[in-house]
Amino acid sequence: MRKTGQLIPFLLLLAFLFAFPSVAFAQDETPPPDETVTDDEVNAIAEQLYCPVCENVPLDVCETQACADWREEIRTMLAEGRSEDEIKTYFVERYGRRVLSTPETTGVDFFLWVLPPVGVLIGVVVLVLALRRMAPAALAAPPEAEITLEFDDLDPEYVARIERDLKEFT
Amino acid sequence: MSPQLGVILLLLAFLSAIYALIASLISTRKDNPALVESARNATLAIWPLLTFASLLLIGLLIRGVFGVEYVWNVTDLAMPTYLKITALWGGQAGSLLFWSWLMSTFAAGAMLRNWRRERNLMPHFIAASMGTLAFFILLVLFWENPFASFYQSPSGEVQAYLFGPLGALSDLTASYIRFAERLPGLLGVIVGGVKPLAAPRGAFPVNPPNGNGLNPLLRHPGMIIHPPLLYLGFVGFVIPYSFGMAALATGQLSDSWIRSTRRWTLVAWLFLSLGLIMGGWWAYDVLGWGGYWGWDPVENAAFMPWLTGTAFLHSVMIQEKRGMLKRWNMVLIILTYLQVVLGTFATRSGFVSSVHSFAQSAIGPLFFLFLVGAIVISVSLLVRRWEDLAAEHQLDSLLSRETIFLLQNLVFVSLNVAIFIGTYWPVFTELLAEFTPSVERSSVGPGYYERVTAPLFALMLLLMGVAPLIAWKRASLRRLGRALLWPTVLTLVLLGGLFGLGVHRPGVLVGYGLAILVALVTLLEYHRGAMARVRSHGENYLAALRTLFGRNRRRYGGYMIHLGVVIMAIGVIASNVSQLETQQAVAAGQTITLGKYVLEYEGLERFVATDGRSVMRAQTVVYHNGREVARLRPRIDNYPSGQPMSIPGTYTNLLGDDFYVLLVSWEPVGLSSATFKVYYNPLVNWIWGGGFIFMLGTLVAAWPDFGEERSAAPYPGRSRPVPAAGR
Repeated sequence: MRKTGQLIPFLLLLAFLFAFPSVAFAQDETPPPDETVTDDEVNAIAEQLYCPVCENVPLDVCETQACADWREEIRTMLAEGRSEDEIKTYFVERYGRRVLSTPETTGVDFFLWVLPPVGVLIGVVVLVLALRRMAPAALAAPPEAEITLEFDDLDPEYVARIERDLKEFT
Repeated sequence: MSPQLGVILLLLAFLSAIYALIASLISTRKDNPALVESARNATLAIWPLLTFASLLLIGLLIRGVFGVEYVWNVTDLAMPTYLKITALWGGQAGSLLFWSWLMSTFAAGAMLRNWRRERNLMPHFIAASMGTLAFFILLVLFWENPFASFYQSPSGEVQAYLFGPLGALSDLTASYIRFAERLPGLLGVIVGGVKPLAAPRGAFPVNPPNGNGLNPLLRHPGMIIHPPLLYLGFVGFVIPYSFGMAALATGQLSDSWIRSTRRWTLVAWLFLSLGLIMGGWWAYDVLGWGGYWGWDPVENAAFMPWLTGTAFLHSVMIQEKRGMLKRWNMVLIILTYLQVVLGTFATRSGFVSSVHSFAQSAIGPLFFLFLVGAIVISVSLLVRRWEDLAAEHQLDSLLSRETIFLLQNLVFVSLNVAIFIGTYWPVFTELLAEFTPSVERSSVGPGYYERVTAPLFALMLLLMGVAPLIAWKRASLRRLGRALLWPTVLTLVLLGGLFGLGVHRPGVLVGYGLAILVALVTLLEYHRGAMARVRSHGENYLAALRTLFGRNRRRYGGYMIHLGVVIMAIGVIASNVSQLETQQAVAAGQTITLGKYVLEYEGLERFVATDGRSVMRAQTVVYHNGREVARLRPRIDNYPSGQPMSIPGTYTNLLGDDFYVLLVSWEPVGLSSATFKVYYNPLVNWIWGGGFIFMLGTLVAAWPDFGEERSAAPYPGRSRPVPAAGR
């Protein structure tokens, strides 16, 4: 009984929202005032960008005045309802690709992403070729055959005795 | 004492290095023992010369002789004495002198220690190490001389020169410089990099009353020890490289040079590792972005030789035990050396510009030439001996420690390649942009490195977990399966617990799982070793553990290093994946909530410290679950020179999590409100703790054992005795 009691206001609210869709989705139409954009929302975008002046400093932590201004610019654009991608594109158009902390996969930068895996593949091939040269016997023999030679299958007392004898020997 | 004495000491050291280089090379042609000893003495003489020069510079720094350009650059009257001393490596010229001094120390030490044992390698060892050292002293002498002093010319210009007016000589150097400036391209840069040695006629010395002061970012304990450690690591790797080159040049390619340099390599590696960890600690504490590793090009430049160095440390074991991989080990030590030079070059020349490039200068082209020369010499020596470096044995089985080490090498070199591409990509695209207008310079940030390296790091952890369980020569799957059974079951149980605690991302679970597996396997190895001794010798458990370390310090020290790495890995994963952050502006009395923590802002105070910096400090209280746990005072220091510096306030809980508060900005009018950036960095202190265990493990493995000379002789029974110990 208590549960339905709590449900009723909720259902009423829902009905109200559906009855007046413009209220529920008002945010999309009229931009809210500046203050509603939080610092965290600004930083979420700024940390993906590099400060265009100081080399290799993420925009969200850069302490120069220029970067503070750029962060304010992001805030304004967010307040205008611009999307993350739009804001990033805006900065790239204005300051070049170098403002992107993580490069895109287009243009020359495509090779940046492709080369490391290719390098690993080449490494694997080289390693396999090297192993073939280094262990022709091991590769030819059936892999199961080697297990019978393991110490595991021997009596531990016996192994200990061999070890002792060997120690005296050397 | 006058700074000119320093110039003369440097000049003598340079001439000694050149003499040692030439004498040792000639002695190899005409088997002349007296000449080799003469080269040795010249090598030994460099050490006191550079020691004296360094002490002289420290004296100038302490006394505040601001007429010396370097002293003026990096110190001021207000700095405490210890900072004045450490300012020796606070700038370009001083660090290069310090680098050279360390190099001369290592070279003399390694030479004396191995003089008898490796007598035949000595001439070429001297040539390789003194060639490197001569280059660095040359840089210090003519390009970045810390003893250059200010002189004012009759026309009023103030500039730094090595010597005061020397009459005709100063006119001569001036006309030489004018000549050099007219030379085309690279040649002009190389020759023209030399500043006039002596001040022009009629100039008089200038003594500024106060200096510039050290870059505020460098006034931190982490930064005080970070560069020396890194340099020690860099310099240390020159020793095994020089021995390797000597082995190639003489054709004495047995692995005795590897045994002789094993400890030098381990010590170099330890310093480099600690340098990297210290750098992370400094960045975390000072740079104020809540992180410790930003994949900055200069960090990468120090990390890359570490990767090949680590691969080398592992794969030389195969050469020692099996006489295999000789070529590959040469390749690895050459790569490490080249990356050390490249790393110093990239750091010091501002080649890859980054936050670390405080010091930029015209030494780039010289470094480039040296690098090319080193590549040509190393590669041609290697090619000449290629056939002699053939393996003595074959692999017995694909499932063996040897194969795991090869895979480990593959992983480390792949990491190196990926990081190399990322580090030099911006430079590459910038160069490309010169020719193709459609290309622009790109930046490569953490997003790239994290994505590309994460699978490789995971593979590295997996290999670390499996390797100790796989015997040399030949292992069996059944044994491996049995040894892995309980650690795997326990790992899965613990992962279940983590899942229950809310860790749900598959990649993250894999990371934690691998780390836990390595830890369990390693601990189990200790346990089994100790139990075997308890049974066979009737020792008690702790005594057994101790003898275990004593008996095979290299192995058990190595496992300890693995444990340290695992602890660091857990810290890295947790602090990356589960980090929380928020930034908010609050008025006095208001709070910021982050996770289970609440930060209450009380107020701001502004004051001027004794050394002239103005400080803005916030008073905050941290509550955890409603209980007060700490009062933090994050602040921003404004030095008269240099940019503002943000010092975080940090509260560490018992688990090693950090609650990290940065003061970002404040309302200038009335100081009524302030903006804070707050981070919750889970388990971040495990990184420093793991680093400490890592260091202990390396010390265990590398500690000199003077009764242990017999281990230098290879004997066939060296393969692991685990079959008996394992029962």
